Amino acid sequence: MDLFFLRPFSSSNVPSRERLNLKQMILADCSVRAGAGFVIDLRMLYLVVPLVIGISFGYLLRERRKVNLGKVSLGVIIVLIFSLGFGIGSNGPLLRSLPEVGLDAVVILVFVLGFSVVLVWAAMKLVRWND
Amino acid sequence: MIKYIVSALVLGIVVGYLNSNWGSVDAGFWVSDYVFNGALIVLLFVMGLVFGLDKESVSKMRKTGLKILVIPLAVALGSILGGTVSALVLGLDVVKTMTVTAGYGWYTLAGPLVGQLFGAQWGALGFVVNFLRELLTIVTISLTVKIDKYAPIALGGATTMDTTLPVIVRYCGSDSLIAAFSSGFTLSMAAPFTIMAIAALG
Repeated sequence: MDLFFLRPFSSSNVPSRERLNLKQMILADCSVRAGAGFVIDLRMLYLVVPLVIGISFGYLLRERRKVNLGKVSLGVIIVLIFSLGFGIGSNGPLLRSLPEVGLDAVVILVFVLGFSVVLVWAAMKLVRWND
Repeated sequence: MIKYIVSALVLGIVVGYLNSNWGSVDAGFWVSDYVFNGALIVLLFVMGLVFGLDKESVSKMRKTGLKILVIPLAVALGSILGGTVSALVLGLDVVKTMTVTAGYGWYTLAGPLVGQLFGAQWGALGFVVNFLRELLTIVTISLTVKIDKYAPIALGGATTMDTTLPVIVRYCGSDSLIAAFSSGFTLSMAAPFTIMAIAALG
């Protein structure tokens, strides 16, 4: 199967062991300077396209009939999570650094997640309170 | 459902590890890039479809409107503040730890970028902190969703526009789609800038 529609995001001139992931490639080779050193990545929008098409389709089909996609999406989620794990397992530098810095990382993460959850909770409370 | 997701993750890690050591590089690249992005594009379309079909989600979304953008702002502040406090607790360099936590879970960016700025050891920390953030978002979702509806989005950071989005939508409902996606999108755009900006402080 020729996945030509996905190809623009992979750069063949990068050595295969050192291949970058998609987001990094986007960052590396498709950006627009918007003054004052700010760079906007246009290809970041590649995920917005299927989302907007999906929402439009759903909106148009709304009056037609009920569509049950629960089962379909769980199957694709499994595929996605498997390939995510695959990328993690293939990432040698990441796996090697785990035992070195793991403990510090866990402590840092506890604070980061705690503060993030509390601030988001407070911000949403404030937004709703203003309504 | 979470057990299927965690099993798929663990199996993926094992197979990816075996493949990277004894398998084919091209097959590995094919799975972690083409299969990953193909599945992601299908999921985004399906989630968009379900969202568009659901009258309630759309009207809830309309009601909240642009106020939804307070979420990425709160996550960014929380992450950087968490970095500051944890650096003080652990006795680490405050500015460098802040750059690590300003990756918002995007480990393939934060690892190399922080590594380039402050050397391999900080790069390793940038890798692991952000990688564990993504991992924890997925693994603990059935618990965090009980704390607060938006807690999984806060945990996910920049990853809520891709890897963790389907899992979040599955657990938090279709009306969380736009909140999660826009938060992940904003934080993904912001991560390189905030890392560089904080690094400039030190």
